[in-house]
Amino acid sequence: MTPAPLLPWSMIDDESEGSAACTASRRGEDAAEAMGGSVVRSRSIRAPMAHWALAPLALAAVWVVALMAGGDRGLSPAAGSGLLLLMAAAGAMVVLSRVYRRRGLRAAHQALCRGGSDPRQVLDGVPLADELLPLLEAVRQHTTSLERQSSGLAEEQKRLALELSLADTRRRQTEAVFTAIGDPLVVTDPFDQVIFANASAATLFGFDRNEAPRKPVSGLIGDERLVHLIRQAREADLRAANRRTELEIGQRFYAAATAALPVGGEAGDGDPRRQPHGVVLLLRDITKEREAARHKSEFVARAAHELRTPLSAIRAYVEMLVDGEADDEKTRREYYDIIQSSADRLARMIDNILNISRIEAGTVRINKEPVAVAVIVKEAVDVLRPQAEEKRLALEAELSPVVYRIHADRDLIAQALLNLISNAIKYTPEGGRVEVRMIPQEAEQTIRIEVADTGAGIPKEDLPRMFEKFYRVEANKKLAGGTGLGLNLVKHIVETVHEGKITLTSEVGKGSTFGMVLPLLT
Amino acid sequence: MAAARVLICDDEAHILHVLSAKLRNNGFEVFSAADGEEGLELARRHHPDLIITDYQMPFLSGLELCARLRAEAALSSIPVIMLTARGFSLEAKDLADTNIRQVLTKPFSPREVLQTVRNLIGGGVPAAAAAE
Repeated sequence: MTPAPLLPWSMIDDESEGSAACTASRRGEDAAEAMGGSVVRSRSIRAPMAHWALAPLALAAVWVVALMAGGDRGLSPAAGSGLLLLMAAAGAMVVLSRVYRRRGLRAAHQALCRGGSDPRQVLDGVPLADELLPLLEAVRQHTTSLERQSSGLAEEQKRLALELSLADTRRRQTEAVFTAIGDPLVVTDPFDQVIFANASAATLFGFDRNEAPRKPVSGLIGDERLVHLIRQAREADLRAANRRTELEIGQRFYAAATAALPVGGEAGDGDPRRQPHGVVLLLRDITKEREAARHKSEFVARAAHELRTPLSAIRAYVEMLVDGEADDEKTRREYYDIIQSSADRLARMIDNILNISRIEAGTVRINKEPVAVAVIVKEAVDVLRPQAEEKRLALEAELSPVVYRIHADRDLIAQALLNLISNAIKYTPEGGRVEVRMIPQEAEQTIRIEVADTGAGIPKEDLPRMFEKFYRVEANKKLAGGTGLGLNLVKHIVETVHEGKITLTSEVGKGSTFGMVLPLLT
Repeated sequence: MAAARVLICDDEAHILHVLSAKLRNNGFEVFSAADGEEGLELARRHHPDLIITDYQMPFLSGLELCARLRAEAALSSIPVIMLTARGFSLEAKDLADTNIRQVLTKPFSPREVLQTVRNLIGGGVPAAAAAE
């Protein structure tokens, strides 16, 4: 408790003489104690000065009685002025008391009106009549309890402000997370009004996301199917609100997922599962997935079709043999050979398909190590030399004396080389020439391995499609059989696995040159 | 009696090879073509009793060949067997107005083809019998 400020009455108290003041003050304290006042020790309630007027009045009365009793008929001037003086004193007391009381009250009033001061302390110094003491005490107690409530409320307010700021931070974080989600996201309330939409959703459906909150979702999302989806999810039970569907929007495919957004509150029938809830709608762009799936199934269909060709040849020739349609040994030999080569072709096709699939799926086991280019080139050429000699082709490898190394999977690169060289041999007529060259490009830190032939060449219109799966040049189909997958496999090995590049130049009637550009190992 | 003549058109060498061998061994005279245009030429030249053609061929497809055959008086009544890939079916409207008497799906068996040919034009004599 702050020390009581100097009050008019304390001053008057100090200056006053006589026991009346002490008596009066003590009377005030007694009154306070009698109230059972708690902490408050009132020491400043004084008897109004008006009471003091009683003293001189009493004296005057006594004097008059004494005079009258004394039998004096008249009032001696001295006695008269004395009485007058006493009267005046009494009057002065009354007036002064009023003045001081007024002043005190005014000061208190001003202090209270100004605010910022403890009413109890202000009232402490106010001259009040005794009968007002209980009232004053009541006011004092009320003020105390109000003060306690107020400080309690202030604490509460501080705590709530903190929680509010935390909640605000959390909300902003959540919004940042939602905005960062690249997929279109829309959140609606139990009345199908938008609570939140992220930028992707705004872009997809063409609305301003800052204008979106509290607008009905059907106005913002034009697509009936999605609005219907949201409505269904909203009407469903909490758990049944989780739905998934796929739909096409514009030129892209989306997987739409809905979930319930709890908003508090209770369903009319009190069943917790039937709580009213909002809806969270998330659209995931699955166009690429769909396309990849479509490519895969197209590949499978095409592969199956291509595999049937050698297979049906095998079946037909076997049937011919069984039916005795091959009378002589020559014919029988011929049929056996065809069956054999068809079976080989089938096996190669299956290998190629598997290898390509594995590379595309990323499941092929790749073992990269430093590989000397000259070594693998020589190995591939050695393997295919017999085939070349059968067709009387000149098969040459230009090996560089300088050692060039690449970081590569030995088997895969060897396979690619074999495919290129065997293609060259296949499509080059007898007496022709196949050359394998190594051309380092030091400036770019790459090496180009070229397989050049003097074969049939490739027509210009076929060039762009050479590395497509199952693509075969129409004009050259008679020259040699093929799976149509060899070059595709080479492309995958060079580009997908080794981050290299495939090159091709060709001229019909002159020949073709295939190249593999691979990064050198530094 | 002269052996019945059969013209086979197919861009797949194996099919030509197998069917020619099968039919020849069973007394038919066989002409073979690798595409529709060559087939039309041979038809004009040799007037076969039956034509077996693939559906998908370069230059002139099987159906187009049939249309051309119908357009020429001398060839318009030759019966045709059409070979198609599995899973590929011809619409009724494609077959109407044509001489296509039978559609066989690949892979076919040479036996099946021989039987179909015999059903349509009879004839054909096994090589052993013809030698007598």
